Amino acid sequence: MTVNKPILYYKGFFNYAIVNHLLKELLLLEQSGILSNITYKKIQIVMVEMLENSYKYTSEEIKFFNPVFYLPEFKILKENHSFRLSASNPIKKEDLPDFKKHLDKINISRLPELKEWYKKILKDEIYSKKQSPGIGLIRIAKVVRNKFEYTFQQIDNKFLYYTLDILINTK
Amino acid sequence: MENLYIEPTEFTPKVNFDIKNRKFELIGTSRPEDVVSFYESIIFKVETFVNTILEEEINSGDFNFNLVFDLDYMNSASSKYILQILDYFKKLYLKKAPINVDWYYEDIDDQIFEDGEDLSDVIKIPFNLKAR
Repeated sequence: MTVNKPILYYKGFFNYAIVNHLLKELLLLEQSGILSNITYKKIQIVMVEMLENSYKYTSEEIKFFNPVFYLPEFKILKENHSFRLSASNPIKKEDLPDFKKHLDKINISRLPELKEWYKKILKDEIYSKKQSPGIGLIRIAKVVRNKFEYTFQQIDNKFLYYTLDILINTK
Repeated sequence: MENLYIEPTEFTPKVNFDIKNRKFELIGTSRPEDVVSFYESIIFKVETFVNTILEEEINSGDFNFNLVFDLDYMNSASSKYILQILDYFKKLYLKKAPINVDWYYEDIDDQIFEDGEDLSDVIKIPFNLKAR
């Protein structure tokens, strides 16, 4: 079996500076012709939302208790006429039902439904103090128009390792 | 009231709120590290301005305002705050003040084009969607 080498890879806890660094690496891929301008823009949107979700979610509690080999990870793989973006990070087990419910709802929604859902959240939470949970994922789904693939791997009794794979078509 | 000008950075947009020339511009990339604190002062300024206009000028019939959004990228967290800015100007729009919104995009496939459509639809103000 041939295993593709990622064109972009990072393992470790994310923060704003690391995301900035990865975005610069992504821009270099576009400038070197590996990514077309349209694909670059799609990947940029998806990547930022994925990584911002990861570092905003990852609390000090998760950082403290999580085993070293379950660090967050992000990679982009080239697959025929598409790019696969894969982001992993530990989550609290108690959050699993909310994660799964949200991801499943996105996956069964058609594009017009996603658009209306996205606008409804924007409208309903315009003056809300909290960050709208999950709006980034809906935006991703609108952009890529592919179903999400995800897994939750058991780490221990408190934590799971969540992996989200998103395919971006180039054609 | 003083103008507001914020220099752009690699990940934050240029903000030019030109009171005298009745123009608000947001240009560049919007992905601030702390989106709340970045937009807080801008929204406060817009709110104060709109409230002042509502108290003083709106009945004079000669008020108009141009909003220009020329973004090459914005994250979903920024959308909420851009919507808040638009919502304050909507108070003037509902008083029949001509509020012109120019929303620039690079390509029809660009997400920025769709963002403009979405925000216009949510706020119920027509945007001039303009290709760069």
